[in-house]
Amino acid sequence: MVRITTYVFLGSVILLSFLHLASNVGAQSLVSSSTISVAAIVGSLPTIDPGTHGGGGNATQSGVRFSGFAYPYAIITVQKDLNDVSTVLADEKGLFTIVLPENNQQFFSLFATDTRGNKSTLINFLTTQYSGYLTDVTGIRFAPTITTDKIVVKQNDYITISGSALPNVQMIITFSGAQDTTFTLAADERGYYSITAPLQLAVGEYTVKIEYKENPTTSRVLRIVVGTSNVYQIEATSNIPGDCNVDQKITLADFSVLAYWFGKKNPPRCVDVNNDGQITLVDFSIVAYYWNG
Amino acid sequence: MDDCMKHFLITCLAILSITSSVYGASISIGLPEKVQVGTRISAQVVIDTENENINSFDFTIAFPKDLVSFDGYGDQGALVPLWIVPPREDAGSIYLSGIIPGGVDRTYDPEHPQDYRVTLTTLYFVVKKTGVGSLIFTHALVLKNDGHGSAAKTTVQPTVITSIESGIPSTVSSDTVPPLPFIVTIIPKPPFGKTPSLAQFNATDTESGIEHYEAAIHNGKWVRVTNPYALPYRVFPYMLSIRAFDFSGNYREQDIRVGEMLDQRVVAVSILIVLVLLLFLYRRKRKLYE
Repeated sequence: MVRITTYVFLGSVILLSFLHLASNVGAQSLVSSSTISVAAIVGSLPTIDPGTHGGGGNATQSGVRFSGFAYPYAIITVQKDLNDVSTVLADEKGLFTIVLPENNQQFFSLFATDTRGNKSTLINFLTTQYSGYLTDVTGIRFAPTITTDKIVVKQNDYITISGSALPNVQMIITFSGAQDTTFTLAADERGYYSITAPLQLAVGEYTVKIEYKENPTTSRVLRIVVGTSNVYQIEATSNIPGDCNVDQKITLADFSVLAYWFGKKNPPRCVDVNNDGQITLVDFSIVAYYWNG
Repeated sequence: MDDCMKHFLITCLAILSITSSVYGASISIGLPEKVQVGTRISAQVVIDTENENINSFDFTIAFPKDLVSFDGYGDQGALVPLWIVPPREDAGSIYLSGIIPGGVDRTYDPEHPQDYRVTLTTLYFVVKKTGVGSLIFTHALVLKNDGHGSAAKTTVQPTVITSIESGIPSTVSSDTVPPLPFIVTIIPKPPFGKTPSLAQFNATDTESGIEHYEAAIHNGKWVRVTNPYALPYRVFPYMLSIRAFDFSGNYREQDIRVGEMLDQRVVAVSILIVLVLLLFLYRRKRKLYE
């Protein structure tokens, strides 16, 4: 009888601890995020704080918490096995925290959608949950979003690159191709950035990306052509490899089209993303990289 | 030794014949040390990313088919959300390839924060007889999540597992659970592309994995299909049924109404035919009056 009473008491304490932890997530996120922002706001990879997974023995009381920085008022979407399960709005500084109940090892994907509807690259987490514990993943930093006003730029003409990023953080835009060039800039306090610059590069194909100066987190890589005339980016065009239905995103539909052509001859140009005349694992890898469904 | 209490020894040697390198992904197969004839064993395909972000893989694993038979795969606790080639067996080899959109570099485990091993999938085998065998990667390709499909260097992690077990022989429990409900999505044919309309379906089965799919139109003949399935052209809407079978023969069926719109070519040809017909009738009428 004494033993049962003890178990009931311990169980109640554990339950209350867990509920208290979950209900105070907002307050805790501010503390932990400000701590992270001092030491490694841009430089650190997501880390796990083992100290917060204290608790105890009820299989129904485990979960995972994701926290970090996105762009101000960005929508953070959490997917489980590539299906949307939850969203949360980042605050005016881009801070976000989200808690999900989960008992098993689970594959989560997170992406941020900025206020203009542009999506970040995916960040994946294969998390392990322990019964009665909260797996706390902190220090997440979403890569900047990126769009261009043109997909083909007349040589020496201007291109505008814009998107959203962590506010007031130094970033580098890199053009890579026959020649390389970089531009340095920072997003404003609303998280917006935009740069219009002349492309004094040799004619040819280039890739353009933006990354935080002190962080390896890199945006999606877009393809740009420097040519003899301008072709503007419109809804009917896309410079995202593998985006065959030109919906400006890579989803299961694009994967299915790629899978259909796997092993078949004469695939369409938009499917054969590395232009080698065949569909191989490399094409799948490139599409997986650009995935933001 | 009592027949009922007969126990067997299987030594499983996992030899990984992959390029040697100091850095990069290392691949291994986790097998139980003690196995008995008649039991179903699980072999975890584990990749140690060594902090490299990887997003796709393609493996061929040879197994001793005289000792064990392939009995499916499991996605529970595993990583691969999208299979290009779900694990399938052919002549003593298992072929599997898949992608992880966005890539992965580790397992976020609070107890093991520096653990870069992730379980891609679990392969199941049924032990047929005693003996010594090996599982060998005869092909292994792992690509980085870098937007270029660069190959990640792989390391050799040979694993030798030898076990002797004495105990009560167990039997393989039969899987009677059908695959989980799934969704069939229609991907319309692009207006100017040569890709046909596709039906896409990703069923999952927790016990033994999806073995194959079958499709039927209007409750017609069931035919084996692959995912995605190129939809046959029909002028009028029709009912498409897809069955996902697991390795134990259980299946789950989903239906979808395919209301394929008349495509532009059909519309153009139809208009042309009507115009020709009208012209023919007009000329014929004129001839009659003349």
